[in-house]
Amino acid sequence: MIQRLIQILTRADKSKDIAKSRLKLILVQDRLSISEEVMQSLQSEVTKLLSKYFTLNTDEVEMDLEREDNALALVANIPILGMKERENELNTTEIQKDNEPDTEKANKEQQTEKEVTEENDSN
Amino acid sequence: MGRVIVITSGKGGVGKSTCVANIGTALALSNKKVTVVDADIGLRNLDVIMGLESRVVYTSMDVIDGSSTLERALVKDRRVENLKLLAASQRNNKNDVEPEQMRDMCLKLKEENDYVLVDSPAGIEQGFRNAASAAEEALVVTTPEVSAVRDADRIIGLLQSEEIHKIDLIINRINPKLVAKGDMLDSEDVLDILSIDLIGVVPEDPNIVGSTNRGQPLIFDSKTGAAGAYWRISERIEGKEVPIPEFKVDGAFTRFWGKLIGRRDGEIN
Repeated sequence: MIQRLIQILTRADKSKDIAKSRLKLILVQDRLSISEEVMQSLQSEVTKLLSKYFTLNTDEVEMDLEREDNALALVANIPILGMKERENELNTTEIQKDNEPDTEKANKEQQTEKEVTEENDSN
Repeated sequence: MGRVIVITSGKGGVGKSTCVANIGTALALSNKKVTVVDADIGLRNLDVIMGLESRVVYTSMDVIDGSSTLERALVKDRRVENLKLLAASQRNNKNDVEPEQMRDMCLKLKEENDYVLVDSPAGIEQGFRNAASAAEEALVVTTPEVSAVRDADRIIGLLQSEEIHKIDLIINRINPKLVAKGDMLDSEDVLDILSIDLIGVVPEDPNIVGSTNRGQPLIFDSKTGAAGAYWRISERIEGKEVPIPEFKVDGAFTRFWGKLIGRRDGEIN
């Protein structure tokens, strides 16, 4: 009874807020599902940008939208073959830092890098 | 040379035809030459809403197949100078008309009018493409509901792909009491989501039902409520700067005072 009174007084359950957040999510999906081209061009631009820093396996880039609960996420799987050598040396420290195996991603990076070096060796 | 404006919504039943009838009448009442075109072939409505159904002899279909001239098919509204209707055929369907045929007709009408308002059918199929074929501008009508706003978003995308870039939004049937309670999206919420220009907010008005029953657009008899909003939209179409009023729920005193001076709920002057 008291709970209900508090609920009525505070109106924490405004239906318009629910409507708005539902709409926002619906539209993100609608807008993206309408055009495959948008996804394609996003993918090619992201790959292009990342290619400045990494050597990528562009054939196996995957990019998709996934819905979890009430959020939408852009999930990308971009296999990295190695770092690009930068012309200026100021980035050497940064690169070292990147290679520290403190995150899963860095680990994966190292792994792929290793694979590449091995491949290169065998060549 | 006039302007061809398509009025569209995606979702049906949001008040497109009522908007066309009232805005068209308002423009004609301000001495503009106006022709309203019902593009809803097979499900014609605009003639009924305007109360002109008994005088329709020829339709756009008759013009297309050559059994009538365009001039002869136009129904003149006797209540106001310079307002004409081109009715849709009830016997045919949307696929009997090609976008080019619709376009040619609207371009001819454009030469002789200040405004050609095309009432688009609901949906995103050929009927919509026909209606949009000659338009350079669009008015998208929505109500503050999830389904209507979603469809409006889709239509906006389609209009843009038809190279129509002047797109304005009409939010129809705002209920100030529900907005105040937090149970209805307000115009800011809708704009936030659709991010196009707003040209008018029309309050829910019980008088619309009666005016549709009588076949007399509300704007002939009233300058407040929904009619006031339609009137302001017509002025904005003409390029006048008219502020969009905020529809508030009156307190007990203002309600009492409003009744004394004959003002309707939610109206602010």
